[in-house]
Amino acid sequence: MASMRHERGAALKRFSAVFFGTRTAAVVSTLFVVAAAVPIYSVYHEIMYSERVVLPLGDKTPPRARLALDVPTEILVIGSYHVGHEFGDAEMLGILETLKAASPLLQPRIEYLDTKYYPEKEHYDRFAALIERKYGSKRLPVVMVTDDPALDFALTYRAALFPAAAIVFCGINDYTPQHLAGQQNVTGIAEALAVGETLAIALALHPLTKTIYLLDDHTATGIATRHNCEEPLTHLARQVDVHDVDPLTRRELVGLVRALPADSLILVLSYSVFGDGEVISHHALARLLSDSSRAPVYGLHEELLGYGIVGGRLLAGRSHGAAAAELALRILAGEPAASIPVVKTTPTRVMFDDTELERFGVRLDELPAGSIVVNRPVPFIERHFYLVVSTVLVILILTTAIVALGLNMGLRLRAQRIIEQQMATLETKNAELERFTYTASHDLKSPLITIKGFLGMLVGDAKAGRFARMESDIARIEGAADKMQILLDDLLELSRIGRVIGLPADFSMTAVAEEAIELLHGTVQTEGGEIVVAADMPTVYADQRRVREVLQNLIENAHKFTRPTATPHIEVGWRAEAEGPVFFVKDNGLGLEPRFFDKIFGLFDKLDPASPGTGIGLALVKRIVELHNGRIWVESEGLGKGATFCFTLPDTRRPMGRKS
Amino acid sequence: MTGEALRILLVEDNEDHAELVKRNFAEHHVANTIYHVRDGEQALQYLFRQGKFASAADSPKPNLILLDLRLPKVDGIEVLKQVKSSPELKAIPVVVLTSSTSDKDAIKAYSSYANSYLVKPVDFAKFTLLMKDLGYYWLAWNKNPTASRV
Repeated sequence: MASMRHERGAALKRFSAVFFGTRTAAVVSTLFVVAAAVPIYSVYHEIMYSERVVLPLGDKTPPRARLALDVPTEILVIGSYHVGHEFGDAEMLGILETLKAASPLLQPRIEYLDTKYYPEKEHYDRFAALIERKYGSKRLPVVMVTDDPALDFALTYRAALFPAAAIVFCGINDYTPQHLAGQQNVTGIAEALAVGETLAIALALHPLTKTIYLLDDHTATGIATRHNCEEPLTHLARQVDVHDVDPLTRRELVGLVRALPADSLILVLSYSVFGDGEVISHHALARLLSDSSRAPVYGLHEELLGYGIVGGRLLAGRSHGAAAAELALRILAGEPAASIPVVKTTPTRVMFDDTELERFGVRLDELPAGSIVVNRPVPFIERHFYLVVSTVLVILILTTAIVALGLNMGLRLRAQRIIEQQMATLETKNAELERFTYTASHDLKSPLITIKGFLGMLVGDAKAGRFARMESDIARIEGAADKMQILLDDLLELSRIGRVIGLPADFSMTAVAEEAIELLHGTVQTEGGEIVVAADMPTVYADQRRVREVLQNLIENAHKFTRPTATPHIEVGWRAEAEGPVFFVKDNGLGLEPRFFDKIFGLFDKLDPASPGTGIGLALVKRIVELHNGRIWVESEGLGKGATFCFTLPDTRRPMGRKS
Repeated sequence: MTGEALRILLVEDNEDHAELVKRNFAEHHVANTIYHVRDGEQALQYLFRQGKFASAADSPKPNLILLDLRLPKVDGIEVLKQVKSSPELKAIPVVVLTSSTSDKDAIKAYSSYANSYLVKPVDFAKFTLLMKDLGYYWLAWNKNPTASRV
């Protein structure tokens, strides 16, 4: 467990070494990530929520009706108001795009009656004169009119201006068949505003509403629209006060709206002209009301949406105009206008402005099913899907590359570490080899010098007839020769150890220790010493012959360094430690100083030149123990205190001859 | 030979080699006195008058040191360094006498201010010749600083 945790810690350290390098770099990169989190979050928020997109108003695609014409045909379109009156502009857009799409030969001509600025009846006469001047000579097949004033004008002046033309209208509030009493060849689309449904929706979304303010401008159109409300107002779901707003100047209207309590509700019916005659556009009106009011503002026309009204069931001028243009195309195609009935229902859509919904705390799930919400934050990802996907892909690919490079670097580091380890091993081996050849040659040369030197002496003495020293000189030569033989044997043994190691097996350490003592022919005991072997030594898994050699050498070594004064006492035993059993051979001999603890295991290193042996024994022992992945060391309290040689033989159950 | 009694400190762990050196010097009447120590530690104790050589009578200052390199306990190079860094001892000529032919050893010895580096010849005749020449060169021809009185 502990080693696993240790390994994991090491792996983590290696990982951070690869990715952060140093502790400072790790701290810096952590700070960087924390600092980066703030802008990253704001970018995320920006991407997901911030962008509001206004959907195009009245975006219903007009049907692409086609008309086959042989000659260029002009068609007069008369608008009641002026360019800049957004609802009228939208109607005109719907008409023009439908007509133009039907045939390239169809040429719409546009005139504006401009009644918001010129409401007087005399103006109609002047306008009629202009129309007479411009179009009197042409036989116009169809005249289209948008909104009530233009229809009034057309019906009043048609006999004089365009008696042959069929009249197609749209945008007519408060349409009743009486409008067309006594008229032939007239058809069109009534502007049926969804007052009742819009009020029902508004009251459902603002349940605390106590008062409804109806806003119309008291022009012909305004009055007609207001008139349309009477019937729906009787069918309200609950009791609320309904107030009509009198004609007011801009300043008065703003004052009134500002004073309204939050539990009121404003419904814009039709409002283009203030009490003092100032004309205002739909967009400007919606903005003015919304900015001044604490109460929600609802409307009936799409042209108000996006500029401050909450919503409602809205009529789009564009699709309204397009529908009327389609009627005109049918007449141009040959269908008699009289056979086309007046269309009394117009398509409307339930729409809301998300900004206003948020302002009044209306949740999207409260809205009627199928509602269209404009100004809704459209997630960046919805609008730039491929950009986001490709960016994410690129980031993923780069991240993968970084991870791959990191892993690669890890592998390289590991390989490098292995190489370094092997280099170190190789260097150690090289140094060992160098030392070996050096010392071997030195130690082999030494006895040779002795042999040759004393042989020379012998020759000289023999010639001179001196015999006194001869015997001792011959003994010196013999001693040197013996020493060479032992040295060669030991060297051979040592070189074999490095290469030959038997198969490991389980065996009792006690038994092997007794075997080793047997092989020493009882030298220790015969010379009056004693040797004790612990009976309970554990079983080890190793090369039995080599371990016996280890014990043999250690016991021999212990015996060699007994003190002349004390009875030799040698103990072979063991003690349990965290790393496993530690075996020892302990003596009561000369002991040694700590500075020699490492030196004695070196090849040919002897502490006392007079001591017997070649200095190879302990080097041999060390090599055998290390080949078993064990450790060997010596403990001694100093000179005269005896020495304890300790070693371990870990049960690795792994192939021998490998250093960890 | 000058009239002065010359002293050689022989540092040699091999008894046989020490005996060969002593006999050769004796045959060529090279030195009056040879002091033989058997390892580096003893050599230092002798030169710095410590341990069993604490008494000045037992350890007169030598005129020449013959130093083996491979020595038990403290090796020859260490002895050489200590001698050459001691103000009182560094004037004593130190002749390295070893069986090592290694360049490394020679460089180490000279870098530590050895005065000469000699390799023990295996051949007896050469060994004898070297001992003779060594004696004449260092003790007769060479002007040694006068050892201070002890």
